Amino acid sequence: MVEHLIGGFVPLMQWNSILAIVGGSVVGYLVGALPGLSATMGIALCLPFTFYLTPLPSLLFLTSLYGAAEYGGSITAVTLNIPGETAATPTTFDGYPLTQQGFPAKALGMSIVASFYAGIVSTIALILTAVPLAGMALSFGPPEYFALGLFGLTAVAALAGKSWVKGAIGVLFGLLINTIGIDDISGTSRYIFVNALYEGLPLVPILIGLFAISEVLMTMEALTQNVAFNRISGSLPTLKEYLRCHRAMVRGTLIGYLVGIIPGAGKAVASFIAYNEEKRASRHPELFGTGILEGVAAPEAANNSVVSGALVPLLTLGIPGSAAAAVLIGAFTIQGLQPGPLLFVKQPELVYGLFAGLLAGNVVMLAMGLMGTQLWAMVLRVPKSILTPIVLAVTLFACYAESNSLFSLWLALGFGILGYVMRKFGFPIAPVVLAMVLGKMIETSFRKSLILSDGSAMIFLERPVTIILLAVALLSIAFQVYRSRKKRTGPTRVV
Amino acid sequence: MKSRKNRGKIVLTALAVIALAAGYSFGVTPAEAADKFPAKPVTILNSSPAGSPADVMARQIAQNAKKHLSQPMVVVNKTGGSGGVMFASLMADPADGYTISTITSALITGLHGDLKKDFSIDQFEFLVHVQKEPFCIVVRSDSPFKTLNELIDHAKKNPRIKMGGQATYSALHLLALAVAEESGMPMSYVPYGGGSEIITNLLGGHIPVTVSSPTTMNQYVASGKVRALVVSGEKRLPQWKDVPTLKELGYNIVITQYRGFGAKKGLPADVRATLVEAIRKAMEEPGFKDYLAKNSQFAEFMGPAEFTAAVRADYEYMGKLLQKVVKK
Repeated sequence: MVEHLIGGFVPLMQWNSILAIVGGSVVGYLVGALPGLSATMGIALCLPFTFYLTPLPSLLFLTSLYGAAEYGGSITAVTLNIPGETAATPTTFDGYPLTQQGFPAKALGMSIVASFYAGIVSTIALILTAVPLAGMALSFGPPEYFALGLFGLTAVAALAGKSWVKGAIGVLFGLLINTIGIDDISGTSRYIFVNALYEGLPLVPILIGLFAISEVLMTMEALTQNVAFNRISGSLPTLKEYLRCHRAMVRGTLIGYLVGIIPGAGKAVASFIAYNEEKRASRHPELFGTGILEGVAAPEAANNSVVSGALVPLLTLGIPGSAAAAVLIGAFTIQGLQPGPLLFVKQPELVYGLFAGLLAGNVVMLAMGLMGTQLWAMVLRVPKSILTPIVLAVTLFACYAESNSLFSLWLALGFGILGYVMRKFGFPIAPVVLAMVLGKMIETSFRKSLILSDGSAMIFLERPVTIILLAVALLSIAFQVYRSRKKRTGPTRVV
Repeated sequence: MKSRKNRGKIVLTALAVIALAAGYSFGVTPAEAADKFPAKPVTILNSSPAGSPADVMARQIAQNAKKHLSQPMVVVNKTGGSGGVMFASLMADPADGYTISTITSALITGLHGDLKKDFSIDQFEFLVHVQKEPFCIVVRSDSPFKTLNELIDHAKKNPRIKMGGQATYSALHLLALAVAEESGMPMSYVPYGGGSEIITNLLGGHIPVTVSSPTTMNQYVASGKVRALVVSGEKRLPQWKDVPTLKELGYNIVITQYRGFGAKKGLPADVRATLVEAIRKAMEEPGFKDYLAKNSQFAEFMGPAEFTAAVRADYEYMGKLLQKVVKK
């Protein structure tokens, strides 16, 4: 295996491979930083161009793009409170408060280092464990997905902010609008009034509306006051701060890698779970949401770790671990390759070339990210009255690019107003996104499970993975209740 | 001084470019109609995302048609709305041959469903049939079922067997329902999200039997993880010579999926002929044949008349099947 890997670095020395990695990283960085243009869409948009490349550079280009986009998503999450990718939503919770305190470069520095760390460690894990862990991807049937979805929903506890009730309302609202579209199980249409809703509400315009447009509206309201950030410091995290976050990075990487392997669970689920777990494991959970670096490190490590995790079932079984990996399958097919059990046997040089490329891609991403932190910190010195309209225009443009339809722009505007109203009345937005990410999975896997069991709910209590996940979800809820009770009986903290 | 001179040059060049552009857009465009088709790139709309089987087919045709068409063909993905987004986009453009689309059996069968409100098969014309593929019923290779009949016998004695496949009312669902009905076995259908989910659940042992397409299953059959029990075409598949057809087993069921090209109804005859000829020639290119071989796909050229008849026949057949198995 070692000689295979060393062999894998050989084709990387060619100019076209290097160009592919650097090019992919640059494009991915921009795609990630553009709210509304998802990593998946970035890969899909670039896919046709790889038609003219040979297999290895084509795959190197797209996987570098994928990884860099996952990091790029955190840039606007930190600087503007607008997640560039769904998976960067949890990054806003602590990243943006850091910016408000004048330390955007600290948050961005933490994010790039966590992304790099996760990228390298998870790629090594991919190289060592892809074949043995392939079975894990298969161990997830409908009951397991249902349990995983419920477990994911318990992350709302970490997102809900001050009011449990308002957080729960957000989740229920997200689950409710998730029912729009063709019902996958019965084939009947639910709440479809226009053609564009056949496949349900698209997540990207809603994310843009709830975060970006509502943020713009909030800013406009405050424009009469002095809203430029006063003191923006360009200082990166200190070594001590990096070391303090090491455990968060390890946990984030592990969660991201495992969730990545499970096909269809998705990177957003991984970073939400990672944030939630980090808050729970922390000795000072009350500080989460006020701008602490662990809150940036964990989700950012998780969403980059998903990239390698998603390649485990893709390369070994031909099953994509994430939506973006599903588009990567297209890249293989265009090249006349088939990812799957025969790939390691037929094309080992391609597989190991790809592994080597992933490692190299992370180094390129780190270099670009570190150079960029100062630049982004500088962007924040632009007065908001100038920055805000630009953000609005660019975001709407990206939103249109994602769907090619005007409908999604109206959707974004509508949800922008909704997001504004929600913020005004103190409803947290993130639970809506969480519910939309998980809703379909929870509903369809629940119903599929019941078809499999002829209607008996015992199917959820017969399978070990399901039992463990459900138990963890239950514990997670119990823990929150316990903690909030303890807090209530303890001395009142001044916030 | 020098910089001013340069500026003058730049202004002149810019003016020249604008004049040229204006001349092009005002002078050339009206004459375009009289010019030989195509005077500008041809857009191929595709309702599935980049990298999907229909998309790759369209891109291969576009690539190999370069030599045979004076303008390039450009594939544009208009995904969403079960094809509705693509249909709307196709109908919005004039029927001049500059906007055509990929056509698949799933898209046309979809016109029996909710899309019926907005679109009808009569609004389309069908240009070229490119590929045809049957469906298949598969089990994991360690399954006790060696043949379809063993599976049916077991299912009759131990109701109800679960069969996995794609979305409710899709061709795969109809195939499963048709087999269940003709054989009289009680069956529950589990609709999965797509090919990958079907494979995961089959290999993971979460579902005993699935209906799928050979494109999806080829490599798993080749690597010995999956066994194909039956295919739903008229003939056996060359790569699976020992897998019988449903007809051979005595079921009067033939369901295949096709991929080809269509357009909004009303293309001028010469435009239609040019497009059909270019696609036909592209299908004969070595590059296209190479793609077919690598993906275990088979091409069969049909011109407009023949393809239209085939599409209509399939549409009627699926409509009847839907009524028979679903609407009761």
